[in-house]
Amino acid sequence: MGPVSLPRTAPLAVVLVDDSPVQRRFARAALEAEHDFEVVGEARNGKEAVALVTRLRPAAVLMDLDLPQMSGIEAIEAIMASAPTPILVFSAFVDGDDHANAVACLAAGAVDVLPKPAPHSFTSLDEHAEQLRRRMRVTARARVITHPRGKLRSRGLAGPAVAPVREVAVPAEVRARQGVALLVLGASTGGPQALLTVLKALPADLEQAVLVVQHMAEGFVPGLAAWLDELVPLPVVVGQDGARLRPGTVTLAPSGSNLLVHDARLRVRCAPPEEGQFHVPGIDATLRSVADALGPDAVGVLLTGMGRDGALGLRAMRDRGAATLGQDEATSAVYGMPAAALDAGGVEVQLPVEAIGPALLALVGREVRP
Amino acid sequence: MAVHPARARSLPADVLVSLRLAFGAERDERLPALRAALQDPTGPTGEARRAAHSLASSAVVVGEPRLAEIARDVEERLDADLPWHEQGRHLADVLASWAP
Repeated sequence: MGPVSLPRTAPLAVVLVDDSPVQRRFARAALEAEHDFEVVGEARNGKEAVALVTRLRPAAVLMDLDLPQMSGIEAIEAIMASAPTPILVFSAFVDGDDHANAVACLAAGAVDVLPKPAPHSFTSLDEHAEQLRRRMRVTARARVITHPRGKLRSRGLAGPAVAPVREVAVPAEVRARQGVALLVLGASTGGPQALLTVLKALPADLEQAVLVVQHMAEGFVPGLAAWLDELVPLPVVVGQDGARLRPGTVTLAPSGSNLLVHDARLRVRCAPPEEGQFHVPGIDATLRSVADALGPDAVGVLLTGMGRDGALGLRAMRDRGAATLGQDEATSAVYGMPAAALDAGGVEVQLPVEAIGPALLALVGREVRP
Repeated sequence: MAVHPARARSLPADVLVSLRLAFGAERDERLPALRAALQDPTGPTGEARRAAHSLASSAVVVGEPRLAEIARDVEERLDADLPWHEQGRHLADVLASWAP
């Protein structure tokens, strides 16, 4: 995927939320440099952020996590409950709690997370500014819905982290397949929420292994794994070079390399990115390896995300006899990758996100139809 | 006024200047909380931790990696409940002597 740019229309309104005047100044300069964004308001804490976003209704919000008076997560919950707006979290890159917090923001409804420039980073400020613009362009295009968690919390109710999965009808053409050993899912912008919805539907005694490739900033995959592990029935781990994918376990592709399935015994290896590869870990590389290693004994799923990663890989899987599913436009935060996969002939059945989990169970012969 | 053009080749010069001025203002705002925590060894350190965290990130933006390292070290020590006063005093001294 090359640089993402928007058509030459009026600049999109953005609200900045950060208690640091330096960070706000940098973000303003970066976002306004190419005239497709206009900063219409700045908030110094979470409470100001909620009030400003509710009043101004910008196209997008850039949100820090570590805020006084009301934290970034609480502000995201409140905004998504009352005035849903695409939010890009801009967080300092440190170990420990901040990674888990970043994933929690995605769970609260933020669209994406981008690390702030770190000491000894080899990325220049120019590159950080360009990354910020690029990610904000994607974020501003995301479809967002009301997240009730903020409303529940404000009424003192211990609401669930995510709404329970509803029972949905699985289309008749989704039929059980023999010999499925692996379910592989690819996702990008909006992925964590979609993954949570899908994985919550899979029972703890699932006999198949599950492999997930989620586009994510360097260092955040362990936090995503930890977050999902707490909320879904299956254990969630980060993949390791040379290991075997285990039945009844969700393995996340680690950042920094492509996770390839080596053989029908589900051994995996970490391979360097391909020349010109934009996203690492890449979904196409993983899906192609699954097609080669397993043929019809796998199911491929492509979820929400910008760009085309995964489209050709899913087509490769389908060509080798695997069942393939794509998330539909109505439930995708960004209908890019699933649309590309559909156009490429890689999607056998397109479904809303809440139907994908039940469809996977139907494909492996676990679903009970009414 | 020192700027670091190697760190931000495409940001306009006036933006680089304003960033360093903003850092000076942030330093002025945060330093009292850091000093207050240093003077009260058994008192709360939340504001000092927030100051170190914010100044570490901001220092990177204005091209002060060494200062960012010092602030990050203080933040990590406070997060891990490790002794931090020596590093905190060093940070306070570096901040006090910093000029845009």
